[in-house]
Amino acid sequence: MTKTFRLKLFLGLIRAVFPRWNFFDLVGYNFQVSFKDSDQKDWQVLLFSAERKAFHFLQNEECNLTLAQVNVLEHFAQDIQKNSDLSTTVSYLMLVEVLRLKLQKEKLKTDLFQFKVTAVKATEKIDLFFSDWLSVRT
Amino acid sequence: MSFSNLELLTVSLIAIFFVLSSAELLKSSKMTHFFKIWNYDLIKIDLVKAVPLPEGWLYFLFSNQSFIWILRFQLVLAGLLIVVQDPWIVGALFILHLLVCIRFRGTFNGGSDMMVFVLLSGALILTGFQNEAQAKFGFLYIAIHSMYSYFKAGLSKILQRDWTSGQAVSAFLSRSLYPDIRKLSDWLRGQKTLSWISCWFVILFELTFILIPIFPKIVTLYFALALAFHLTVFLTFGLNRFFWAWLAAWPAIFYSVTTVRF
Repeated sequence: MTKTFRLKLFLGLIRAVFPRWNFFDLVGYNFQVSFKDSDQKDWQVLLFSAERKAFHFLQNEECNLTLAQVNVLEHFAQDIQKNSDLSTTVSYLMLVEVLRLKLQKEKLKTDLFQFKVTAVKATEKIDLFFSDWLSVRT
Repeated sequence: MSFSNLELLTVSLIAIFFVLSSAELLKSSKMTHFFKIWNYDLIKIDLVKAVPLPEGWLYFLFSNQSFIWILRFQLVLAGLLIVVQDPWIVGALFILHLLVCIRFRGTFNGGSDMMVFVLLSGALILTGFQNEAQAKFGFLYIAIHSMYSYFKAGLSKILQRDWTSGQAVSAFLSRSLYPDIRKLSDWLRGQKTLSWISCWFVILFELTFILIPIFPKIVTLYFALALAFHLTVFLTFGLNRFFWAWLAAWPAIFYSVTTVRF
């Protein structure tokens, strides 16, 4: 049995058992992740997109997986407000893997990248987090 | 439709949901990057703090290989459930679905995961009691939750200024993964009247679900509207699982509003 049992974390992991029916209610902030390689000066927003096809009505793995990646970003944005050492949080480590996956397709000029997380609402933008320089490869 | 046929329909629709979702996740897990993101070594950091089990058990339940076996097991059980309406199968699906949700740090697909737990809880009562007088509480549980889910969603929207002022629909559409829907959002932002109508249509549609138990004759109309609503949600946000999860709740709604006097 673990000695560091955290009830709040446990309840968070099983939260689907306790339904909350608030769908798309609060517009609030949208979270964006931007990146640049060591040659770039400007940040480039990383878009999460998917393609729609009729058979996706039955199985939509591309979209659902991309939504799960967006959830990773949203978890991390929430963790920014709660944690002091973000680099050891699960959400940070997962987000880095999401970025590595997506940036391998972007064909960066260098092997190093930096990312930032921004809260966006209408014309308002707040930078919440800047990462260290990271390698695109694991 | 008889009670037993409605029960079979509900359980079969739940099984269809699990066949589709398990097969979908099995396909996803074969993508090379899947276990780089949702890797046991990463999720273990939280699991050791949050799940009061020895590490050997955590590995047994949440390792990458276990995840594949859980999905395969879910698929087999879902197929079996159509043939045998057994509470042990329903209970096993409940536990397996919980393990899948924990792997994704709470939910994989938000509200649809929550509705699946409601459906499975109701199905446990339905299949666990032979006597219709007791088993019907399974239908009631599902019906109350699903009608409340629409009503509560509408209630939380009507309290938000972005919804009542007509800006919310275009704001949410701008967050869609589909590029054509993001363009539609840009266009809709300029159409103030249409934006306002679409926001209020959603609010009123969801809020008035509470009228179904009072006026049971409108249940068929709301069923048709709900199908169109969930189909629209699929087309705009790609949320196919919501369609199948909520569809499985409708036999319970039909049963409850036509046989129970509120």
